Amino acid sequence: MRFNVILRYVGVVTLLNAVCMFVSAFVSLLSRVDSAFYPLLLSGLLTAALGAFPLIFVEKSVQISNKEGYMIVVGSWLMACVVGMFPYMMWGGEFDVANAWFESVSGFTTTGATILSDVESLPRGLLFWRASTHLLGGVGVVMFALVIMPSLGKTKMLLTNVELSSLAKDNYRYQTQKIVRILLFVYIGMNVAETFLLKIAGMTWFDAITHSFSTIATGGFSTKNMSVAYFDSGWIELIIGFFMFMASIHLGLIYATIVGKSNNLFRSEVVRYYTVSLLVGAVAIALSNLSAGMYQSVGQALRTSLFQVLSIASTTGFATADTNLWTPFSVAILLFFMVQCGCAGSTSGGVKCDRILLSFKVFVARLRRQQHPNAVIRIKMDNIAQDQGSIEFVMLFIVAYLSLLFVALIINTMCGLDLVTGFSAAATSIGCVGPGFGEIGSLDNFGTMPLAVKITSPVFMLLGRLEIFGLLQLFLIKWWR
Amino acid sequence: MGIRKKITTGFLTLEFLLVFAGLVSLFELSRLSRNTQNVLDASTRNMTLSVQMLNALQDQNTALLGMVASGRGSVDSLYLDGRRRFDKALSEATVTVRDLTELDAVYSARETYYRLTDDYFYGKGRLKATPQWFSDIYENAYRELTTSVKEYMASSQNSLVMRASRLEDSAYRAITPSLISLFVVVLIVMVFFYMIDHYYISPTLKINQGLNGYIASRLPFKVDTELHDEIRVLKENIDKILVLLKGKRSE
Repeated sequence: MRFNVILRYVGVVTLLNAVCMFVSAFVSLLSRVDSAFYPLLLSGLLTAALGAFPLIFVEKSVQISNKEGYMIVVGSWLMACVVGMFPYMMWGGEFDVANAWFESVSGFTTTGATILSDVESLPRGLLFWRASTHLLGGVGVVMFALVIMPSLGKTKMLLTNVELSSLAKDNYRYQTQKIVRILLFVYIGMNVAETFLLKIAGMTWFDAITHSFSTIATGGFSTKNMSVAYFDSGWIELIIGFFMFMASIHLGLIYATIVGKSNNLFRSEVVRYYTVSLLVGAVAIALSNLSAGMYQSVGQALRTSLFQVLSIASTTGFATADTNLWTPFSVAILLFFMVQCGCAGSTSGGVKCDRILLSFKVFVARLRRQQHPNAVIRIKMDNIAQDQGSIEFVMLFIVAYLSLLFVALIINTMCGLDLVTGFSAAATSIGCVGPGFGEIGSLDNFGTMPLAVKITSPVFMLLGRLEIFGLLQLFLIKWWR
Repeated sequence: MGIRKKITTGFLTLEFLLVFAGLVSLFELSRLSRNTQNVLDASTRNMTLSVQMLNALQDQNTALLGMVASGRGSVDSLYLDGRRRFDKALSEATVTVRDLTELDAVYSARETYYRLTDDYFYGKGRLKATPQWFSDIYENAYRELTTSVKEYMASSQNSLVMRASRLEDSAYRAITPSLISLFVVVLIVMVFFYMIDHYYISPTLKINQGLNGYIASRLPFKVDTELHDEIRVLKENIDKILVLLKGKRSE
């Protein structure tokens, strides 16, 4: 493994972080040089020095091996999370090392969980930096860098494979080089569209931009303590809800729909399943809350339940209601969405609908095979037969995901959290969702969590964001040889 | 970029970062020092002014007690001096205090106290100036004013304690940029060491090893590593010299 080549490309991604810090410093400058200006400027300079240093020595390398590709992506993520702590730590306030680590990883992995008890006390520059970490992490920190690394050719796919869900690339059906452009086109396009719509709906430019970054990345950082509930606007909820839904489905399918291809959103079996599951979940929660007398009208119950279901399932994590007050049935449904999450190829985390649907088909096929032992049963997704290798990998992923969930639960309860808080903290971290239940409800934060939880939860966020195996490779000794 | 330029750039980067870390800590620590000095000055000033006010009040009280006991009606010079000193200390406190509301109670109590004493000296109250009046009415106003001065002293000290505790956060902020800069320097030193080893030390050692093998046992000169910059040119030149030597030997 050539560490010099790895260092070069990790450096390029680090430089991209420095650019975002300078942009945030500029926002700070526009806000009458608020208290975040110097921390952001200093952090930007240090990050730029760190990123540019390997470029002095290492020349461009077109050929990158599989292992090197993995190391570049994982290294870039870890480096982004570490340098992302700098502005927070320099600014001070509630940010000590553990809190800065939590906030940085939560931002880049688009989890959106925060340790801040008073978000509104943060200066604008720092709020913009928080939102920028979502923007970078949403589509993948390396994906942005690939735009400025055109020399890599075929290696691009190698790098995107680690950041993209393993299922996502099957659905693209485009040439490798085109995927990066499509992803960024849809990603940036949706950000721009949402920003304008939110502005029209009554937000300030600053809030519209930061909330768009959060929505399209399915992150969840808000500039308000009360999250989206602060705005108390049906239009804003509708726009954010729509874009949360769009961001949690395959970006390639959105592109295909826009350009009029046949394999579009409306023909996708996974999108159909996802949409139906969301609607059924939202209606069930609304009925449950209505029967418990929590809402006065059907419309109000449906509005909040649909928004919260979309927010949790898309792994965004915005809030318009305190879900801690909802019925246990509603909480159970939200917990299911917290594990299932959105579709492969989107910016959402979790197990993903594609895998849930495929595992269900495997289950049905198994039942049929028991009835007809000699039958040849093919498992298809969108009329494409799935090979045994892909099916095995999906099943393995689900087992690994659930195992990790229990490891996180054990750690959390060991740290003194109750079962509901511990389980939801585990699910919300691995699924990169954001809010949980109990002490970390939709309108609460991780600030009061024990130190060990603040340190370990980000590790689970990274494991979830890199789909478990990407990060685990680092810990295999043979891998390094 | 040649070896010299690369190494120089590397060292310059490190130098810049170290100077940067030093300057940032110098700037932040001098700011912290200024803030600490301000808090200490404010604390001393507050104590001095409060003591001056209490002393001035005590003098007024002593003078007034003497006047009431002796039945004198003319204004005593000790009383007037005490009043002047009290007003001076209060106006100084008003100028320097950060939160004016801290002095509201003092101003209010002073108004009551002066109204009472002015009444005694210049108004109808003069007729009522008996020991009974002194202990029942005057003493209450005096106690209220001294209590308000003491409360001002305590509240100012409390707010100074809060400012001092905020300095703890400032201290954290003062050292954090330097610590982060040093952390970045450590990372860059590690990368720098790796680069120098990978690009210059290892290849040089391998070239030396290859030459030793050739000189000692006429083994073919081979350098089994990736070469860059002048090191690559050096290896190519050695290759050329060896070819020339071979040619000369065969002649």
